[in-house]
Amino acid sequence: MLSPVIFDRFDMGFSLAVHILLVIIGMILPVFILCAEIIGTKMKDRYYLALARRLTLAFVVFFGVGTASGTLVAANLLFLWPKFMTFVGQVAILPVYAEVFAFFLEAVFIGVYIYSADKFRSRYAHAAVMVLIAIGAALSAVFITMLNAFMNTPTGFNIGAYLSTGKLVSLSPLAVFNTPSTLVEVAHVVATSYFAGIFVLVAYFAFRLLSAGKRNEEVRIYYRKALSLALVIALFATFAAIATGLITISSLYSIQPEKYAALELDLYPTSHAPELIGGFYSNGRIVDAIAIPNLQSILATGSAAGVVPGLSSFPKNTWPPLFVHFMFDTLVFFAFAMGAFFILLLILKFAKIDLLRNRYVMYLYIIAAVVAVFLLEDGWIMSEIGRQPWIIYSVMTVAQAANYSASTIPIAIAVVLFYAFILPFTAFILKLIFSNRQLELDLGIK
Amino acid sequence: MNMIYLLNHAIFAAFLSLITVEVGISVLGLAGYREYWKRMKPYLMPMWEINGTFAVFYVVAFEAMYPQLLTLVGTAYIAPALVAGLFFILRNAFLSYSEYIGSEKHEKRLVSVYGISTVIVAVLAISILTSAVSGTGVSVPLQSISIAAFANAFNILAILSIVLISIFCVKALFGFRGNAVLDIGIVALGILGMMIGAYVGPSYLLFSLRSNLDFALFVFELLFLFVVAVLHASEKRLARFLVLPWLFSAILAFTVFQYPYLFGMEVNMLAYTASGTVSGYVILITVAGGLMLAASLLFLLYMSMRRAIVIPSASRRNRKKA
Repeated sequence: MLSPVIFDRFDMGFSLAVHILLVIIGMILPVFILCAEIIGTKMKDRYYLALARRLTLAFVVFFGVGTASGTLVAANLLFLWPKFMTFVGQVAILPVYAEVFAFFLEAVFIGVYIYSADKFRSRYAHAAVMVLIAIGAALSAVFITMLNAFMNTPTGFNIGAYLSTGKLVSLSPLAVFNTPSTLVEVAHVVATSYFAGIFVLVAYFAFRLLSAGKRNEEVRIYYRKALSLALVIALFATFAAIATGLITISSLYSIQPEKYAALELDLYPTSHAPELIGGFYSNGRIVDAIAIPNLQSILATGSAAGVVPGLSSFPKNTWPPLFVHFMFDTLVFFAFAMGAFFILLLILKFAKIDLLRNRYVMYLYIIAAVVAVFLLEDGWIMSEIGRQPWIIYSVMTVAQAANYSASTIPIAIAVVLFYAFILPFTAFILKLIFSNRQLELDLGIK
Repeated sequence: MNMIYLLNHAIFAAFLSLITVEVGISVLGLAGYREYWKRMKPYLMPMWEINGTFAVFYVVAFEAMYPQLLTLVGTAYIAPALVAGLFFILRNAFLSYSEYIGSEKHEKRLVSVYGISTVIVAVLAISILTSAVSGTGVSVPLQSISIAAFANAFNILAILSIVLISIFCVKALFGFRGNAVLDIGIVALGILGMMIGAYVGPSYLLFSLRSNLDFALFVFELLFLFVVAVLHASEKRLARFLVLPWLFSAILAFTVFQYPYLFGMEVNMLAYTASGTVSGYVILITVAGGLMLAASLLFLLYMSMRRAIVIPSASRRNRKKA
């Protein structure tokens, strides 16, 4: 008989993976709508104004489904991991609580933006409401990531006393806002969320341009303008994602050494550490890896003589599953591929290939979006598996936190079936909404 | 009275008041789409997200204020709570779909799914609530519940009563004129149902009126309701503005009657309150966040009451056409 803990893990992981997809769209849409509305107002450009109007419809639907799936994730945290939440409630609840008010900021001002759109004297004032929505969305991500950073690098209580007596002493509830990993993790999560979110929009506009066929030229201009705006934002987001990613990896070795050692497949602490590409752990040693001499020490410490941590410094029963190394290699490979993607665009531009008209470039955008979303999910899964078996590093294991009720099994199955229905149905409804509300009408050409 | 208890239950009362109105909207929307839905939609559309956020607010406030109760509550109520969570997503999704779908036929179908989902969420939430209040079917030492025990007199009467009260509240809130005697009968039946349920069920703390404060509150709430009902029956607009404050104060009064127990008298909530350091910050964030929320809601109200600004060129075009 499978343990209910497996279903708890599966339910939580699956709900989070789906929720993350909705979150990235919910985070990028306010930024994108804001840019479109400001450009449209400033340049009196009806294409950008239509873009802002139409994407607002999609935003409402995504917000509706996204916030509800977020509520389900919050309920999952409580009901699947009750002992974890009991602990968090005593030590690290404040960012989660503050997140509720960021959520309120978003919910209230969405009401103002949509339902009072015709009551603003200045269109810039109307756009300013979207700034508050975007801040609310970003702050939600910031606060909730603070809890994740606490799980990676717990602080704000006497860990030694807790482990020996089970009592929480020397409590400092504000410490959760500033754990050793908070700043780096928050920056990387926010940057990668925008990065993956904007690429979803890039793919959508590229797809629409591909399928626009012989439709009115005005429609094609609309999608080209949308795509060009999305690509500009994507360029900045990619740069931010890669920069924060590099900082994250180089800070891991000092603040989360066990996870770092597993990602890099380092068995022993060593100087002049090579960067291992591929490879497996077998019978106490690493086999089949391609080693680039000194590179890891240089990247992590800035010097070939720098010492990087090794798994041998930690008890073997707390090592994370070592396939995280493979996930890490995959992540680095595709991150480089995304950098190469922009260089390729630059080369194509110099070769006078139209980046907004060429069919093959459109396919390239769609592939890049798939890679971007994969990178985000891979990064999250790698980070969470890299902390196993702990739910709170060195304090509480996943098995200790879990709900062992047998009812988690049918619920996990129900959650999968439910999302399998609701996500395609949401896509279908959005298609119906947009086909009922023709773009030509929004552009004033019908 | 303990500050954390009062704060937690004030959030609970605000959340439940808004959700009760939504239950009434759902029931009336299902009963008469053409008759009721069009008039309720302008209220619901900016409010549904805020109502949903109040659900999260209450859950997280409970986590922050009673962390040591979470293992018990989380383990015991996992099945009904997560099923309610799935229907909550359906509620959000179908209401947001309905907003821009365009065709009335599609909108009606989507609104029906929204209404049914909301009622199911409410039934599950009330069942959890009555179970937590009364302790019926709950084993505190084993941290488990019997779902079959949801079928008890208190719970069934509570569900029916809350639906009746919600219908009255929505009728008063939107000024639906009809048979005034019937409307007053609906709410009287709802209150009576709650009281009978509380007496025949094991929730003896409700309406036991243990102190003078309880008694005074009980009389005040009945008088308040009487005023709202009379204003509604005599078609006064004031009823619209008083119905939500009454609902809020009535729910808060119920929590005072229950003070400070949960699960019958098995759990004293005061023993599980967050530590002094954490609760101090929780109160601070609640006050700061609450002020921000109040200011935002006032702005929403101000904007929704403001007249639409007519673009001059458009009005000129209209005049030319005329």
